[in-house]
Amino acid sequence: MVTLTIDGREVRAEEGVTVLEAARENNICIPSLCYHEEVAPYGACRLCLVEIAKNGRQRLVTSCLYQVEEGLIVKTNSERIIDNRRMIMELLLARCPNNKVIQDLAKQLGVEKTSFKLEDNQCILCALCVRVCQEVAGVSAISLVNRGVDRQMATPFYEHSEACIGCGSCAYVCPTDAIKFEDVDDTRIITMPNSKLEFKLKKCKTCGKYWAPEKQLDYIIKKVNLASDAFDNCPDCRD
Amino acid sequence: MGEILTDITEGKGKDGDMELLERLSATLIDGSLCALGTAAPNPVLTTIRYFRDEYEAHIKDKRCPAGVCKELITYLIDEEKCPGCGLCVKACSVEAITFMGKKKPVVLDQEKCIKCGSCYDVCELDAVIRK
Repeated sequence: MVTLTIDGREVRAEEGVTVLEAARENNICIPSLCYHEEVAPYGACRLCLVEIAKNGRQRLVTSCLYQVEEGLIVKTNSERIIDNRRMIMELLLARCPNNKVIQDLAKQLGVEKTSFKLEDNQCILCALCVRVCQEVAGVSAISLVNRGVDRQMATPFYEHSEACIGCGSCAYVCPTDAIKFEDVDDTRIITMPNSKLEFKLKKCKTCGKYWAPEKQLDYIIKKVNLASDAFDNCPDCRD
Repeated sequence: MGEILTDITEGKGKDGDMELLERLSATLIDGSLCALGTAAPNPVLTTIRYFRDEYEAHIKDKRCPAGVCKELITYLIDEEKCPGCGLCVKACSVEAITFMGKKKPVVLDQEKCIKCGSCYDVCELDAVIRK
């Protein structure tokens, strides 16, 4: 256990956890978009910037990446942080002016309007979907492509990804709802900013309900060595 | 940042652009993970510091004092100096300059001119003016 100070409050945290996790554990709010406890931190949205003082030197770090240290003094709401956070929010707002999540967060941080040219995106390139696809689903069907201002989240060559199993984890974690999925009859449609993927759903042998993508079930059967008829019935009809 | 700077060079700069660049630079310096990020806005910051008058000329007067920004400059023929030698006529890649006969000044068609500066470079008598 280490002891650190966050906003003047003494906080005890386990070694190895990040400043963001320690703060949230103690009900100290730090805004963030690209953090998710299930995947490795990435530091993409940069909203979770905090000011740390170490050896008499102050600097800004992303709290989702910075690990707690003994005697660390953290400020989450100094003027310098608020200024920077607002600027970052302005940039995000310029990128996704029509996104509800971004609009609400901007309002929360006191950003009314942005000084930058408006674009029309939904995706903030936080790579949460990419990380989940790689670390949780384990298929790496999507990635961030291109560099700099051309960076995009996409399937390989913008085509129907062979690796994708249609699990929808990417849509589930997307902080801005840029990826959506819906099940229409026997098809699951995943809509991404640059592509649209369709998957055939499996029909339950007992009740006839379409309940999960065939590809995903095959993947699970293969991965954990289940019997090939393990998923013939939906969870409700299983005994 | 690149977009704002490009707008300024194209005469589309607005009041407050310089302040916005400075604010954006400050955030970039504070929020960057690596030292390359903290150094990235330095060219912008130093040009604003040492060439503030040039920025102001571009934004407020829509003028490029150094004669570099294509959108903000025009080439003119000084009719008194031009002897009608035709060097510029040959140099012009878009045939914007018409030869009017010997000892008569050439005529430059502003609509055709792509502001490449070839005529300016080739004229030995400084009869091409860059504004």
